[in-house]
Amino acid sequence: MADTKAAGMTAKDVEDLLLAAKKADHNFVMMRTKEGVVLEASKVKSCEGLVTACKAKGGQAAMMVQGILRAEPKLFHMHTEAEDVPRALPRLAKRFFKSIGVKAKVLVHLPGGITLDDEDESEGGDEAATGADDGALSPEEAAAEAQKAELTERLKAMVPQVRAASEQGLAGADKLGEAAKAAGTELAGGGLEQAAKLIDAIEAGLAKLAGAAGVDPAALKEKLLQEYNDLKAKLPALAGQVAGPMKAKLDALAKMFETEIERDLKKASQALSLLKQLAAAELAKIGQAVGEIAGRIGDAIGGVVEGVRNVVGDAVESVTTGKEEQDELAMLRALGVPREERASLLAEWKADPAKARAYEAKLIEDAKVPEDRRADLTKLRETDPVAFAEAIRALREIGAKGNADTSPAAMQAALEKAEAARLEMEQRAGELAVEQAALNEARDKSAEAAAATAAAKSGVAAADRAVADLAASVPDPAALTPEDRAAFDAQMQALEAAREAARKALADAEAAEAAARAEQADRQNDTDQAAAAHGAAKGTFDAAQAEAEPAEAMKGLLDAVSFGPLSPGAKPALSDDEKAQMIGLFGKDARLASDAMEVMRGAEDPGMVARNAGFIGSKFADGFADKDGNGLALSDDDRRTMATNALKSGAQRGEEYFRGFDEYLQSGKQLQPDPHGGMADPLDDEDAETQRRNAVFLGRSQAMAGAALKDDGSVDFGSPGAKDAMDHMLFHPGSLKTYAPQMTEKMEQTKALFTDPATAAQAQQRIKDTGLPPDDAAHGAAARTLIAGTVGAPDNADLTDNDARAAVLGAMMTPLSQGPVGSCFSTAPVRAIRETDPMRAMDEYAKIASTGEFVAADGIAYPANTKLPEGENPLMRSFEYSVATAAADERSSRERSNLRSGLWDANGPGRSLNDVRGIVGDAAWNDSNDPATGAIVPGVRQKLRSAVNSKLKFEYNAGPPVGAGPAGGGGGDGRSTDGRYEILYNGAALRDQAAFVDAITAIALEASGFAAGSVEGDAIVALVSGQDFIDSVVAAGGPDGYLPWELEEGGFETQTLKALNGGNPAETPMIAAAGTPPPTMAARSEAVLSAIIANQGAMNGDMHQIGTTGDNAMHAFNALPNHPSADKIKPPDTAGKIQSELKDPGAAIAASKIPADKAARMFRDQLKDFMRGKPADDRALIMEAMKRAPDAEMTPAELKQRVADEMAAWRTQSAQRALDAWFPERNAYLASQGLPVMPANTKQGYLNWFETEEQKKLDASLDTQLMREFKPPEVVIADTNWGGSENQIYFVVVFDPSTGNLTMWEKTMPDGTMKPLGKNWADSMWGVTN
Amino acid sequence: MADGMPPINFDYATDGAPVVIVAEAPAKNLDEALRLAPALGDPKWTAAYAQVANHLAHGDRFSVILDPEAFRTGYLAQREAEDPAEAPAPGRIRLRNYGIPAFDTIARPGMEGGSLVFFAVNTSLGIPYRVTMAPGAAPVYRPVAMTN
Repeated sequence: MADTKAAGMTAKDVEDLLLAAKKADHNFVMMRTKEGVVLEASKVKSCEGLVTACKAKGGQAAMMVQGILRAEPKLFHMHTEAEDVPRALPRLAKRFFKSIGVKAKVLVHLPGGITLDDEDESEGGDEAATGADDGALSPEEAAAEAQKAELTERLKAMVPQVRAASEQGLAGADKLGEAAKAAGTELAGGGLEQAAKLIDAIEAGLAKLAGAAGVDPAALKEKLLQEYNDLKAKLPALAGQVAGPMKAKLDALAKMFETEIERDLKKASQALSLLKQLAAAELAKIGQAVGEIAGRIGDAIGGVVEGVRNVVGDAVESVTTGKEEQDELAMLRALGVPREERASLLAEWKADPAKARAYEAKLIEDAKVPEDRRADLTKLRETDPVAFAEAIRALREIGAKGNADTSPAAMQAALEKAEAARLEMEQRAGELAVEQAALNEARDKSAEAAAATAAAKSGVAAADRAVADLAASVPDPAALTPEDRAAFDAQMQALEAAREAARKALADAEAAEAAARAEQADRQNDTDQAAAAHGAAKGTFDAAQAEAEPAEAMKGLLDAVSFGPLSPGAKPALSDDEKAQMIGLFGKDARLASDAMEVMRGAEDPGMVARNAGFIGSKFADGFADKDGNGLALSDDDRRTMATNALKSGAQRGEEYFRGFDEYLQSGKQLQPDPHGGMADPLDDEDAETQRRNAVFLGRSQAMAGAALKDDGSVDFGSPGAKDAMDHMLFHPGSLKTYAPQMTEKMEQTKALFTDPATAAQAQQRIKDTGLPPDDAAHGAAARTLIAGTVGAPDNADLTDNDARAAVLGAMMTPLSQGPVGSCFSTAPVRAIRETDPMRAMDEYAKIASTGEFVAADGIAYPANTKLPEGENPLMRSFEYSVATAAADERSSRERSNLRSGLWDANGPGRSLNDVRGIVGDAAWNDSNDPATGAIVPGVRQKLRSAVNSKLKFEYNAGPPVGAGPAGGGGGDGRSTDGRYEILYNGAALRDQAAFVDAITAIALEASGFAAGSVEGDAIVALVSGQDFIDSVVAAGGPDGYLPWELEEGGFETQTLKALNGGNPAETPMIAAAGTPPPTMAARSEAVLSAIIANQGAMNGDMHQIGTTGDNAMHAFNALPNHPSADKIKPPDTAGKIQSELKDPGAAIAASKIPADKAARMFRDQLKDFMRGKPADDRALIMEAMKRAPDAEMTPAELKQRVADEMAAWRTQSAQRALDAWFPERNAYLASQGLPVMPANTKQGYLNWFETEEQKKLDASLDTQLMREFKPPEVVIADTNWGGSENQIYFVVVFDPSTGNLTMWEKTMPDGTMKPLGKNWADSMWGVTN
Repeated sequence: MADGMPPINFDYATDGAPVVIVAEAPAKNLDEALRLAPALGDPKWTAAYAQVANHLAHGDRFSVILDPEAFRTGYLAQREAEDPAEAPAPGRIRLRNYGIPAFDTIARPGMEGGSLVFFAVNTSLGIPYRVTMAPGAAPVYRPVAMTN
């Protein structure tokens, strides 16, 4: 269906729209216009896009409604999520449609079930009688709109106060929140009078909450009297319609109020509340019998309706009744106890509080809470009644799923049962894989046999034809001469023999094919059996998991409310309602609840995450269904991942994310496939998985850039297409499964460049100016290759200027971090540009796209590098790599200068290559001129210089290509922590003095023209290999020495800066490397932190390049001088502030005791988390260790030691496995480099190193838990460059709760995972580049 | 020694700046070199002139291409010897990082419209540059056009 519209359209158009909206839901926007209304509707365009269209047609945004349009014959249903829809709109629409000859009714459905009719306020339903057909507001309507606006403003103004009161946990604040919601509903539905009353009540309630004493009796009395008098004036009308006993009740309550108002305001308010309740209940009864009267009476008492009518009363009650009573009321409400029963119970409990306790105890008992945990729930009831009620509901849900025995023995048994089932399943999966492979092989053989048969058949046919052809060529053999006849016979015999052979071959082939087919059938049978066995094993495993789930859920819930994040007094503090939302998740899925709590604890606004947890849980439960209930067919794991990542996104992006997610799900777009491949499962092979993810991310950047770019070359992130694309990035299941929050953030940042007035014009112009290189551009081919790769076009595609622009946008949307084969020395400076000066980054991308070149600050141009890591964003990486090339050129130049100095500059006999002059003679030594060409003909001296230049290459070696290991470097993992330059001769690195001498000797002999063995040649060999010569080379490096076979560690970070910005940047120490003996980690961490803080004043911008030089800690990265976490320790008195802001709070945490239950929980959580993905042998050991959880309170350090002790067996086994894998791999690498391999008898010597590494992983897992648990104050000191589309890693200094030391950490964001940084980093020299 | 051309050697000053030694006299810039060896201005000695200009501009960072065919052969051989499957890395210099230079445009040093034009190879990268030096101006280095 094409887009449809109803502005200025004919009757047929409206009829068409009615028909279209009847067949399928449409997004719509309707606005008032001078003529009446304008209506835009579309199945594909978003409402945002339709708003623009409406405005373009004279629509007034102040009076609009938007949402989903459905239709019946002659009836439009407009469903909207907005609550403040102008009441006049339906009527205006109806009139407008009538004016163009269409009789169509319009109903606007508001949230909460309220419907605006086109008859509303129509003076008896006859719009013609109102005289308002011109669409203008009547005076009454105008007054109503004005009052509505005034009330809306008042309501908006009080919302923050209500929220703040709720967050502070003030008694009654929750009720004020309900009243505010009700007021909003009333406003939207036009119930201005009731809304005004609600707002009055909320303001009064807020005023009382604001006072330290809580209640202003005089004001409250006045308010209650006003309420009562309003009601009392109408009571006779109501009483006249009710039976005698009810009338008596009403009278009694009225009398009670009049008595208590002078004595006890609380009792008076209760009487008033009950009076209202009874009145409302009777109203409902009367309404069923005599609706007309009910309506009239309803109006008479203020338009009270079910659901909102007593909110004022509740709000007043909440600020006047005691906290205990409020809590009981809140609990009963949350449990869903009907109002009448609530009142009855409350009255009963008031008379006998023990009954309240008994009621609660029964709830707990019925929920099958173990006796030893019941007190925890009782405590929760006392502090968080709504959360308690939600816990009871969740426990009921859990109980309905199965037996929830949370005893340690039962849970361990369930775990072991599930583990046994998992092993069985894995074994069957292995068998199935073997059978499947055999089947595939059999299928291949069968196909080959079939092909052979076909070929044999062709052979027989050919042989038959040959015999027939020969026979046909000689119709009468008898007529032949004897000689010809003999030849004919011989030929015929040969052909017949060949035919016989062909027939035999066919028979053989057919037999072989039959055998192959039989074999295939056998294999198919085996495979089917293996598949069935695997299916059965999987069923057993799933059943075992499901069986364990209720106990896990119950224990998780009880732990969370007893001592976990939802317990009384836990940090971060949550309101009662927020806790309730989180608790509700346990009823849906225990693991989701656990994951959600982790997200919540790491969030900047935990309450916001908690408030939306219920929504996410409900979507998890319904399969993220659309508005019609169509859900996603995903595994539990995928749904859990999707839900958790949605929570993470919301935690990062705020409340708006959840609203957008809801809208997206309603639309059904989640049911469409992900064209970028985000729904695919991760691959086992790490490299393949990296490439898969890169391809997904590249696809996303292409889609987003393409959607934002318009045909005219401008960028519009507000277009419907761009909004859809961004929604896809934020909300689609593929985006939440293959999760890339950093990339999404970059997309938002890029969008901001084009929407922020400060940068929009410049950004638009930059993109507009970008285009393909001219056809004759020197490096246009490189540019086109990069553009094609970045936008996903084939290499030979006909590209356009817009492709170049899209490439630049795509590069901008891709995080520039250190890739898997990255080098910090090139990444750090370009990342700083991308992060702090995005306009320049866009400029650099645009230049490369438009020219295929990078021009360094010294004016030298370099062709853009086109050989880049597969799958990564080509334009983004080419910028980094091209800058790196320029820097490497510069660095090589410096290294070459150093080498030249070492070889040539020393004075004295035997100390430099100048002595070759005496060996070859002046004539050969000096240059000459070629008389024919005029060229300078190099002499031996120049030849020697040139040969050294051309034959010795300088190359940066980031480290070995496989894992770090005790004897290896660390650069191969993309972290460049142990890299250095090397001199290569004939492709081999010169890594010792002998290799260096050999290379120089060979070069010198070749340049001289003399061979070894000649007098001159031997003299040259003697010179170069002489100790004087070597000494002078080394001496060229000054006191530190210059060793060409072991060049200084480090990279080319200053050269990269120079290539980008010019000048002569140099690194100066902020703090020297640790001396001997090195200080403790705590002392060194503090010293490094102090040094960085002291240097921050001289740093520029938000990122400033720094570096470390140390053992396996060579790194260039960026300090974050303006990070707010450092404000608390900035000068003056940094030392004092470090003590008070970091060390003192940390020490208190370290000394604290973790309760036994909590310690046991943390112990098990860590071990269970650690089990994931481990081999079966490891899992068995960890399962065994899990039996020995702590049973006494302990400090964080004691808990860490306990984990280390119990995991010792696992650690040794895992370390041995890692060693077994590493040792041959390392030797293969050494061999490939021409280095001596490690003898087999040295292998076990490395076991301890691997055990330490395994322990570090274990520690990191617990450290993350401890950090989340205690949240010690931190200072973020640097951005490491490490990261990508998924996350980014920072260096932080935090007190370690488990060691009692100030320590340096890697912190991964946005997850907040913490990992201790090795002491080698702290002990390094930390320098700043200026 | 060629007619009118004094012996010229390339060297570096103690501060690392490139110098040319004309006979025994050092020249740190092209004007000095021309004063010491006026024959460099003779079109007959264009190649020497290019070498001197190149050395004074960039020392051994670039090397003048005097035999284009030999350069082409060496370039292609080196490119062929590189492992096409080798993982790329920033700062890892390989000819396969780029396309194929337009070898047919590379020529011996010569004069074009009053400007000296020569080709030089970047010693570290191995890729060719076209160098243009207008009278009285510094040489301008531009990488030679490449095709995929």
